[in-house]
This record gives sequence, C-alpha cells and structure tokens, in this order.
Amino acid sequence: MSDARRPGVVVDTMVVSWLHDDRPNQLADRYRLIIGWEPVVLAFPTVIELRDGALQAGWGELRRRRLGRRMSEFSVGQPDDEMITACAKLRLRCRQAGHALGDRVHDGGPLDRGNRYPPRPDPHLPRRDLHRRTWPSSHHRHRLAARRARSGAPPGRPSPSFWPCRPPRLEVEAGPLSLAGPGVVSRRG
Amino acid sequence: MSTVEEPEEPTVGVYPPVEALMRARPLPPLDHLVVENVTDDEWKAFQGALAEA
Repeated sequence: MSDARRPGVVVDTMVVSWLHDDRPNQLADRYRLIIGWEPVVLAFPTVIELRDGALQAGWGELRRRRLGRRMSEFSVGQPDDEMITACAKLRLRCRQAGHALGDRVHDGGPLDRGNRYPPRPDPHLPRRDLHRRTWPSSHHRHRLAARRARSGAPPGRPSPSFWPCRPPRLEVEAGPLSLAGPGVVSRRG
Repeated sequence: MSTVEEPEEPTVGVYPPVEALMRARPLPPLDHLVVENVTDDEWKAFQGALAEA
C-alpha cells in the first residue's frame, strides 16, 4: 500500500472505551473485527471525553494513569485549518442530506469523524448489513436517549432529522486528507 | 501494581491530521489496552459519564 493512499480509522469514544475493558462485550468484539488492522487515530475530543469520564466516575489517580498509559498507544489528531473547513463542509452536507451529524446534538461530531463511526465496511456486504453496521451506532442511541430523558421528551424513536434510515454517502476533501464515508480518512496523493 | 511503575503522567502524542495518520498504528493486543482492576461499579460510572458527554 502506498503512502499516498494510506487509510486509517478514527475510532469513537465509546468504542475505544470498550477496548479498554476486558469484560465480555460483543460490541467491542465486533468493532475489533471491523477495525481490523487499519491504523487507528483518535480525535482529541475523544481524549477529553475519556479523561473527563474517568474524573466524573471518581477513578483514582492510579486508574486514571493506567487509562492515560493505554491511550498513549494511539496517535491523536489535532485539527488544522483545512480540517476545520472540511468539518464545516461535512456538517453542511450532513444537514442538507438529513444526516444526523448535521444536527446540533452532534456538535463536535464531524471533527472527530469518524470518531463516532466504525470504519466503512466491506462494500460487498448486503445493503441491510452495511446499514446495520454503520448507522446508527449504539452510542448514538445511548446518548440520544440520555438527552431525551434529561429534556423530558418521551422515549421513543428520535425525529427523522436525527435518525435517517440510512447514511448518505459523504465525501469531503481536506487538503491532503479525504474524509470518505463513516470513519474513513485517507491521505490523498 | 505500585505507583513506582508509572512515575510520570502519561501523555498522548497529538499531531496534525496527516502526521497523525502517518504515525497511526493498528490496534494493540487486548492486554495492551485493558485498564486493569476497574470494578464493575467504577466501570459503570465511567460508561455512564461517557454516555452523558
């Protein structure tokens, strides 16, 4: 594989958190398979959320250091001007396409994209499997349910603007990077 | 595990997008990622905090 087209996977906060635990977790196993041998990048909001989560959970210093040591295994991406512009464009396209990432509930979402998503699955998978594996992710359900509970909204299916039946194909170019579909970043030649 | 084994505050390497991608490696083995000795309650609280983020 040439450097000009080296893919990578930006892994979501919830997913990477599951990878830090060895309790039986089918989702973690599934995501491990989906990620495969692709190089993994974390977005900086993910590091914030993991550190903040440990503090909120009252983890002691030793456990927080262990978590930090595990996180140090990953390369963390910081945004630059091109990335910020790309995120703005991606957000606009999401909004136009009715994709959930365009909604304010996902502020910061495009920045750590595909942080929120598994990598693009095998294109030869049946379409129903492709959708099931890419959208919506379990943490979205969890987070949206929590937000709805806090706002007093009745439980149930979120509005269509939050919950499209399938993800539109989105592709944004950011300088040398290409964000193509859920969670896949590539370096363009 | 004693604190002597982890004397320094761990840091992560933060890089511009292209460099982050170039430095990225595949997932480490499970035993290199697991945070040991986290109780069920601590784990539940952690997951709860992440879900609220």
